[in-house]
Amino acid sequence: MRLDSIAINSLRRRKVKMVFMLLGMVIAMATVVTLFSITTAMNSELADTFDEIGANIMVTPKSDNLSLSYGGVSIPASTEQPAMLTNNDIIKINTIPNKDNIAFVAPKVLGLTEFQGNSLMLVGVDFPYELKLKKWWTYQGDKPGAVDDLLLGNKVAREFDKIPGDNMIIKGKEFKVAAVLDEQGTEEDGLIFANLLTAQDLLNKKNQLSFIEVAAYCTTCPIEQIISEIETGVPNAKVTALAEAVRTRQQIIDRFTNFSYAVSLVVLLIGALVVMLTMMSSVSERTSEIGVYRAMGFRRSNIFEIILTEAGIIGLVGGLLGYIVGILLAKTLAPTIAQMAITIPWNPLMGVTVVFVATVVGLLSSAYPAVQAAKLDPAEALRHI
Amino acid sequence: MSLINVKGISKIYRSGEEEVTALNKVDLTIEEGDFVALMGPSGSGKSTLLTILGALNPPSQGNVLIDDIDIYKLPVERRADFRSAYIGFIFQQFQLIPYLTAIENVMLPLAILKHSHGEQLEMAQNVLDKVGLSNKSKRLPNQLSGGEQERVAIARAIVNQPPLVFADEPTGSLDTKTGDEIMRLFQSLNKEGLTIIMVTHNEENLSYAKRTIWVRDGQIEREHLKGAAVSF
Repeated sequence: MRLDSIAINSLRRRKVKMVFMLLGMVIAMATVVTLFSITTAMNSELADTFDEIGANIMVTPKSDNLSLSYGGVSIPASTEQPAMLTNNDIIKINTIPNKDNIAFVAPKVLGLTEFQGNSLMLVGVDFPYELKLKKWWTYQGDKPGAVDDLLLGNKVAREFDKIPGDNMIIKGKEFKVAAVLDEQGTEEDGLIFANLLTAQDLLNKKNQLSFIEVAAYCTTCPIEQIISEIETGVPNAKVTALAEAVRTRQQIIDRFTNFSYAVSLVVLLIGALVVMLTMMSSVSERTSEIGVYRAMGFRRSNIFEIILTEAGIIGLVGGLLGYIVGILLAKTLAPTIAQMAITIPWNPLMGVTVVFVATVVGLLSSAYPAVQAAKLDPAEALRHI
Repeated sequence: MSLINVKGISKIYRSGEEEVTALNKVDLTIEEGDFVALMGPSGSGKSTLLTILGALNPPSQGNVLIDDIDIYKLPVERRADFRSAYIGFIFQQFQLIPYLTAIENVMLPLAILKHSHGEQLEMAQNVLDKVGLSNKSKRLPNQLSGGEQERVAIARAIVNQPPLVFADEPTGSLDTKTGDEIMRLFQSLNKEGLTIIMVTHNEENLSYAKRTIWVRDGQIEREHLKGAAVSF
């Protein structure tokens, strides 16, 4: 018989009390684990979703003498040939060391063209990626994708009285108006979007790109690192982060993270309170028992050790069970709560942390009742007999 | 040779403005190997005297010397060590720990001493043999009769071989036959050299004690040595 065997037997044979204390700890830790797992996964998913909307990196050729612009990028109005990117640069961007953090690469070629005697800006794009990048775009007509499909800006369509299904002949080549953008209130209203390769042919810019928009996942990799890798891979390019997009993303993610931490902390405090109240009630119920121990010659430190050993065991087991239950709950509830397809992994580091925190919470919340128990006057305690 | 020397102890309980004198200038000497019964009506101070003698309850004034050690001059934790080494307690209602088996209850006082588990088991088994309960050592208290629980409590009090045992109403919860058996057990332990001080209301128990002390209004009213005339 040792002091820890007293604590273990006390827990083993006072099952109702033990289950109640354990339940308090398990519920607290499981709630923290569930919340934390879901919010962490949501954070990552939210960040990735956010990163997929709009570009956060702009790759432009190193060039001056600019006059016409789109998306903050200008093209020269003169016939002077500016520096250009090439199709090959798309491959270079897609093969940087951090390629897994690249969500989309949306290349563009810009050039002036004419339609019915009017100068218009033609933008060659990779439609599938362009449409993924511009999730806010709404349009009338079919999703453009074919080599002869056009997507007209709203103002262009109105000016030339074009609707989806109409034909347009530009520089002798026949195109089909696949769709017309709803009014965006931006310069895009005055643009014509065409298939990238077709536009390159039409503009005599075969294999040339005016700029490339990149949407990168920034959760696991700082955007500065991605930029540096693109600069190394494409030395003739100027790579800039769209600071506002990155900053806004970070603000939203940070707010969400702080909220989830705050909720987890509140739940943890409630759990600690439950354990403390249960321990206090347990000590109070065991006043006469403590009196008997003290009469037998147990020191105050012995009583303290017994109570804390019980609390430590409750914390250890409660933490482990709380982690398992929490992850299982998170896996079950995540799709409903988060309303998105998120993956909740078994995270051993989180498991160890939860067990450690639960044990510390168990010990700390039992410290006061343990001190009270140890300080019990044996004669006073024996009056309860 | 005197084991306990009590010199002028008083115990005053304070409750707000009110003071209650539970013991008033008591002098008492108890010899080694004595079997003392403390008698008296409820509130007479006999239980207070027992807890003071048991190193559990410091007197308001006076000294208690056990084996020439002034026990209330010892710091609190040293006094706990003293209880562990010198004193065994048998409480009213047995006060066995409900979640420990009979043998685990008996081993409890050994949990704070430096015995190996094997030694603890052997010592506990020996005293359970002595009280006639070796065959029920694995039972929980609620699986034992009142008399059996009392025997476990006695075994627990003597397992670490203290020279002194205090018993508070040891037969209070038992029927007459079982009470007699327990008193005979006390008598037998006393014959082996154990000093026993027992608080009792039951006059039938007095025949087993060597000495009876009557306590009333916080003072020793009279005492009686077995085989001697009643002294006042």
